Amino acid sequence: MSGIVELQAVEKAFGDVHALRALDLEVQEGEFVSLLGPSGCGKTTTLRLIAGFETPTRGDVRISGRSVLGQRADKRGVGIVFQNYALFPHMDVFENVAFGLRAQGLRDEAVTARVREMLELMSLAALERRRVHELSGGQQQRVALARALATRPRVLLLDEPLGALDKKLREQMQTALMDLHRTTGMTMIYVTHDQEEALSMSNRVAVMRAGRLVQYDTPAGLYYDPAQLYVCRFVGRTNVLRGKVERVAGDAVVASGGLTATASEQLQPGMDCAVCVRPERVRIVQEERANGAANALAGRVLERVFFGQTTSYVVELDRGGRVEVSAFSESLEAGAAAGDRVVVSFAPESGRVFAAGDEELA
Amino acid sequence: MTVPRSRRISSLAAQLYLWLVIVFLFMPAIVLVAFSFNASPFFNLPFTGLTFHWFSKAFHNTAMMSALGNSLKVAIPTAIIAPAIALATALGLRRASRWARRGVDAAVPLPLLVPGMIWSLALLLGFTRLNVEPSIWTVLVGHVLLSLPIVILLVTTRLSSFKHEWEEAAESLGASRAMFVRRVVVPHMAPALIAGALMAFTISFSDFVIAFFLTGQGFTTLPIYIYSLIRFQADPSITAMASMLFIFALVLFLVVAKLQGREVKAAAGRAALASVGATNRASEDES
Repeated sequence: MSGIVELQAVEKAFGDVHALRALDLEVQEGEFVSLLGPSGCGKTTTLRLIAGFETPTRGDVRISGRSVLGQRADKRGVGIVFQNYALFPHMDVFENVAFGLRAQGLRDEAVTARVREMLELMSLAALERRRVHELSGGQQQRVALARALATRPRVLLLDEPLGALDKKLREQMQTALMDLHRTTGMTMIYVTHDQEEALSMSNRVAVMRAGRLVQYDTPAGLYYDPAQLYVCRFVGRTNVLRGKVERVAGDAVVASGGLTATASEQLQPGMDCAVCVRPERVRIVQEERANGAANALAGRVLERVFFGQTTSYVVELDRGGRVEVSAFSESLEAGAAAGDRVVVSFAPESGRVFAAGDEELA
Repeated sequence: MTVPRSRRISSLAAQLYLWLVIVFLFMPAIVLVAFSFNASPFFNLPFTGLTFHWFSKAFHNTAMMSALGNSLKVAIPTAIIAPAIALATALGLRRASRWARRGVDAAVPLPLLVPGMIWSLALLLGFTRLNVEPSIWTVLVGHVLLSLPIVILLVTTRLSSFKHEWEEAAESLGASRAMFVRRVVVPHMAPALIAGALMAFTISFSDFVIAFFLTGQGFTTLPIYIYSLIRFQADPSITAMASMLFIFALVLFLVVAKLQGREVKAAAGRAALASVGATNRASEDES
């Protein structure tokens, strides 16, 4: 398997600080990959290694099958969009977008044609002669994108490019970026700490933590088959029920209180463990109508929140802890109200058991 | 609209005070310009008539014209070399260790604190040790060194607003080092470089002490020539020349202020003041 971008056993240390440890990552041509993790997890460092702004302490960075170690950033053919845009303030919109084309030594007519095309694509045509400081944040963002795309880079890197925009604009730009990815087929590597953004936009997501790659999978894979408790909690919402492992039989694990679920890691009887289940995988029924379902837990409804399409319940369990239940509002039969005695349950294949311990979120 | 009388009076008083300060500041220059139009060959009142004779005489004084030419021969290269060195220094410092940066930051302004006389003497001794004959080149070196602290301060200040990402953005867009400097660094630095060039020009053009110590046989800059005229054959052609220099500095200042931002205005203001200082010194010596 060889991708357009490959990182092989990459380590990066800044003095005594290890930003990256033994990182392996491969991105296929035309893929949209997100690097997801809390700040300080090494995702931006990874991007800078690919761009050529940093050199790895150990390991190899390969683009299109060739090692680019020792190759300057301006020779790599990798475009980048910065979080704060890094537009050239003394140039107008046109000249900013034209910069990379002029660097390639294109003739004026070719530059003009290409810039116009990019400005058209980014709906910036009317702003051609504006100065950068006269633009709104969203417009600056689009100029930065147009500038990076104009040279048709082999790979486009995006470093939290929507971080500075407000929610509505961010959603518009997400759609615009996905359209762009679809129409250009360009390989894009996207750094973000926003898991919803990563899930909704990417072909694959690399979840990073403390300089390591924790899991590299499709959004659905991360969501339904998280490799670690950390990923399970970081990606999407989840309920965590703590206990001890009692029995292990193949994939099936029985934990304290008779909870049965599927093992995601190697587990031994007696270990502390966490059983995780997504809110939409938990069913809720009135106590008197519970009839011996698997993983049935009795409790009392603490809160009921109506979101329109879905309704959420927070249930305080008799065994201790809380469980969040989410269901389509329409599918609820005579929904429970706050204070009601209820039983929540989930199928053994919906629950995941992880070794408990080192799962704190940064 | 009615403004209380007391307030009207106090605002009037403030304006009057402002004008008094301006007149006080510019009085020597005004006197200088006035006397250069006076028909009398002596610097005294009353005015005996309006004349352009002294301007014509100044222009026909070949010694004065050659001194003016010499001054330009030193001031123009100084105005080019000092900003170039300052830019290279400032760019180099960004990559230096913090200790080196602090050291240079602390050392650069020090020459400003050394009296010009001592500084010139040190340069003269240094050149003598190296067996370098005083000439236009020694004056040039002296003037570049003299103006560097101020120019470096101007340039490093401007460079501190330079964003590191611009460099990375330029690189990622495929720009060579040279293109990055030409298209991103220089345009950003232009206001400081222009201001620095103006400062260096004015410092060199109005310098007396270094030129006095480091000029060789047959090489005389304008301030030194004016000084010798004052001592031996003072007449209003000196004030005529000084007036023109003053007007030149004023026009330079106004043009640059119009073209550039606040930063340059401040620097050009200092430059104009320095040149006024030079003409003031000349007029003080005359009286």
